[in-house]
Amino acid sequence: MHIPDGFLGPQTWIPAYGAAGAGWAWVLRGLRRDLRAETIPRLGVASACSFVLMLIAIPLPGGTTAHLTGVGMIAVLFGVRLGYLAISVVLLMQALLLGDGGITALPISSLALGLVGTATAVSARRVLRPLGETISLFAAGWCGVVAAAVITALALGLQPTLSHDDVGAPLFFPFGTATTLPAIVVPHLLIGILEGVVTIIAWRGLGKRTGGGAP
Amino acid sequence: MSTRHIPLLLLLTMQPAGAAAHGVTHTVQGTEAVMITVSHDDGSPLVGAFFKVTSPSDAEPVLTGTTDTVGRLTFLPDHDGDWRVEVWTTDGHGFKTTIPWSAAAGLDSKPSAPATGFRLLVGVAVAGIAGYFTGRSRRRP
Repeated sequence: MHIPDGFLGPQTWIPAYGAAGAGWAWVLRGLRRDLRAETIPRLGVASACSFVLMLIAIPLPGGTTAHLTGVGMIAVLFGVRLGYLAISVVLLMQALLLGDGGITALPISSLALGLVGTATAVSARRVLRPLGETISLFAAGWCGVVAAAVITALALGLQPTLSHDDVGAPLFFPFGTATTLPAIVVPHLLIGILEGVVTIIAWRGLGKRTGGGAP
Repeated sequence: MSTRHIPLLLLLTMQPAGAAAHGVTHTVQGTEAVMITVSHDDGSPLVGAFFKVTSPSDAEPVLTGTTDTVGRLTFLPDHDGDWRVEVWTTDGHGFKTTIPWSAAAGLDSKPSAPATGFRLLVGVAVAGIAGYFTGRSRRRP
């Protein structure tokens, strides 16, 4: 889910910066209330773990790779608002330090993982909490990363429709949603299993010490 | 969370030895033809990726195809200038690059992305810095 520069047209990334910017403003507005002094180092360590998880790709059948994100872990530990902040900073650092993901793709990746991913994870945990803690935590990890994969696949797959020349040839990413949805989402159905396990382990180890997790 | 939980968090980030740092890298070589080798960051070839080559003087691509079984694409530039190469996979990996071709000079680039070891070192350093500040905050009265 690290989209390179040049894969998304300005018709996508300019509005995405607007939407992501509104999200970042929402984060900053509530930061003083949500971010207690003791939360800062814990959020830093969890963000660092997410950073490392995203660096390491797992080879999948068919010759492609996918990677863990830690989105479920961060969502259940810190909630949507701080999760969006943490994931956005992680993606920015990876783009600047390692060239993983483009600056023009940053808002789409931040919205997909940081906002939709964490919100889906928190919602899944809430809805499935009656079924037990383990199931709800696993669902949070699985649903969070799959939701982010769907948004990423849609953003890429809409490029031929949004940005093309006079004869209809795509100017940016050339494959439509019929190709990108299975190509991106199906591998993340498997990656989601690992995300679910990581979320369970992280919660068991750290949940109570982060103040009970997501609000 | 105390400092003794940092190893747990770091453990969570451990992967099997076969796992590779995420991304796509490429090298460009050639004296008469240009050969680009596209690979994942662990060096395994990116096989069957779609590519498009556009010459300095044309708007339309002069060559399209897929990378071969060892992740290579090759083309013959017939004049000097900036040749544009785009590579995609259906799951959103790839790159766009410009190759400043000069028949007299040839090409021999270094890999485009940091090596796996460096990337993991950066990750561990980030985790270590976060862990240090966690420990410091715990010691503070």
